[in-house]
Amino acid sequence: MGVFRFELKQYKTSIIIWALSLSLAIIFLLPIFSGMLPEDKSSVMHSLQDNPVMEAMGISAENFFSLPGIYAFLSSFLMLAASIHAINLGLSIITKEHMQNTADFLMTKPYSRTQIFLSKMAAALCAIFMIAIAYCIGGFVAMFIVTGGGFDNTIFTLLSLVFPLLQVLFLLIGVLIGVIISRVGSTLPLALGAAFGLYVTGLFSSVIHSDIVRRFSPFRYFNSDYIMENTQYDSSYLMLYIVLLVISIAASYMIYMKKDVKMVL
Amino acid sequence: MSTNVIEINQLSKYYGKQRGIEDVTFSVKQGEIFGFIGPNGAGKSTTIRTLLALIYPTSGTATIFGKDCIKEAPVIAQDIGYLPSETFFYENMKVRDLLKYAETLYKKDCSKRIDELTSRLNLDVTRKIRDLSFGNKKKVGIVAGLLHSPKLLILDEPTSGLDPLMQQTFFDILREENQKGATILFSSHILSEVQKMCDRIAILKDGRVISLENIEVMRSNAHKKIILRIPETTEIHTLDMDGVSSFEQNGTQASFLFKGDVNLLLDRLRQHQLLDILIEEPPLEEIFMHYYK
Repeated sequence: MGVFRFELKQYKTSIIIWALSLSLAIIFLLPIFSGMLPEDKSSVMHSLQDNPVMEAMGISAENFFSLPGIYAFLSSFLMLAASIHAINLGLSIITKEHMQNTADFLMTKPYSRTQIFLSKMAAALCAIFMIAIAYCIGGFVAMFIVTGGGFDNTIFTLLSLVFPLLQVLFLLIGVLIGVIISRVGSTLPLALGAAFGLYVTGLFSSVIHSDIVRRFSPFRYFNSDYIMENTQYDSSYLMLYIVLLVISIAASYMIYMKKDVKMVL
Repeated sequence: MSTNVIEINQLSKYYGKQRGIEDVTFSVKQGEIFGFIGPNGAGKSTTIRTLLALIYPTSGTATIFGKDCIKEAPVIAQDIGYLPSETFFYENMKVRDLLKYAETLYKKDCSKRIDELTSRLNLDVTRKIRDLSFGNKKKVGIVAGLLHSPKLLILDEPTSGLDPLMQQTFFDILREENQKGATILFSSHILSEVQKMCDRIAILKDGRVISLENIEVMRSNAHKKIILRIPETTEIHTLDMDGVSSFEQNGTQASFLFKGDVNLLLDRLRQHQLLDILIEEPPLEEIFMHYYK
């Protein structure tokens, strides 16, 4: 309990700022974007057919000009920001003991490494979920403002859940990088690089229509077109997601348990 | 009284191919202050960090309180106080909050002890760690290491950064802890402090224990340093007897190291005309250098 509470407290301000800014962003952006929906979609849609930008974004023109489509589109952008936060959180929660040289302090206390690792994981997940919940509430409020309540709850829920699902995976990617290179000079550039790298990989996969490349970008695991058309997640990618999740947490745990705590120099 | 608190058995640690320690074997008895000396890079910290399960040994075993120090590290940690050579804490925390955090990690109410120690060490608990000087951070480390009244204290070059007055206070606190029954493992490269504090010492060189001795025995086995002042006309050259080494004559002064029966030496010296004689116990430094030759 001690480590968990301590960690959560350390991230308190950052959690509040991220939760507020992401939820406010969707509350303001969704009505603005939906206000720009054209009365007659067909002509715009026709001109956007096979538009390379839409293709890169991985959303069809038809879905783009619907409210859930706009929600998914905005979410994918905000998700980029949230992914940077998640990777950075995963990285920092693991590496900060080494960066601040506090590992000696923490790891000589009557806490097993398993306990420390699990407490840190629990705190990070808690932080992620608080932000995700705030975002989903924001999304709900925004949808409510625009429609007055008449929207497909299932699709909304499925689209909204993509947010925490991806956050968790990015968090664990951050943790995995953190346990492998425990001394990173600064976590943010690394998090930015990793997030943008994966995002661009996703854009690239859509442009070249490659399912192989798509597997390398978690941003594309939960395709919004697929969700809107089938009211479910693409099961093959869901499987891949779960496998990656399990592998990264198991690998992180094993490395964390075995690693020597480097001497303070 | 003779139960061993720490038992280290052929402990080795390699960092890849680089040697950390090799075949280190020694034990620390309950209630003793055990010195652990050697120059930088000899493996003192490696040994200590293995004892604390911060790093894992390549081979060999170590037990503390009869428990395996790697497998049962969290249980053992409850009764260990550790003071690293350089203390680092969460920079943006206040001293008081940090000590509270340490307290919760031990799941023990230590507020009285914290108050007592901070006032004795003159430590301002309302300040942020980042605003503290090196010496003050060290004091935080001392309090954090002692607040739970541990049965075993592991100190890795603990005095660096403390002014002489604080060092004295710190040594006083250590002695009190020792009298209360705490065992102390004290690593240092400053011999005078080891000499002052410890009952037994282990000397480490290049990752190996090269000597394990009682400090009294070590001193009595050691050489005496003898300095003679002689009239200008006299020439002693060499004293020509067993036990004399490093003989040097420089005008009216001659000095040498002697190991053996002092009566024989005095008999031999009586044959010469002397102005003055000085017999010194060589400082541990010199004994130490002798081991490093």
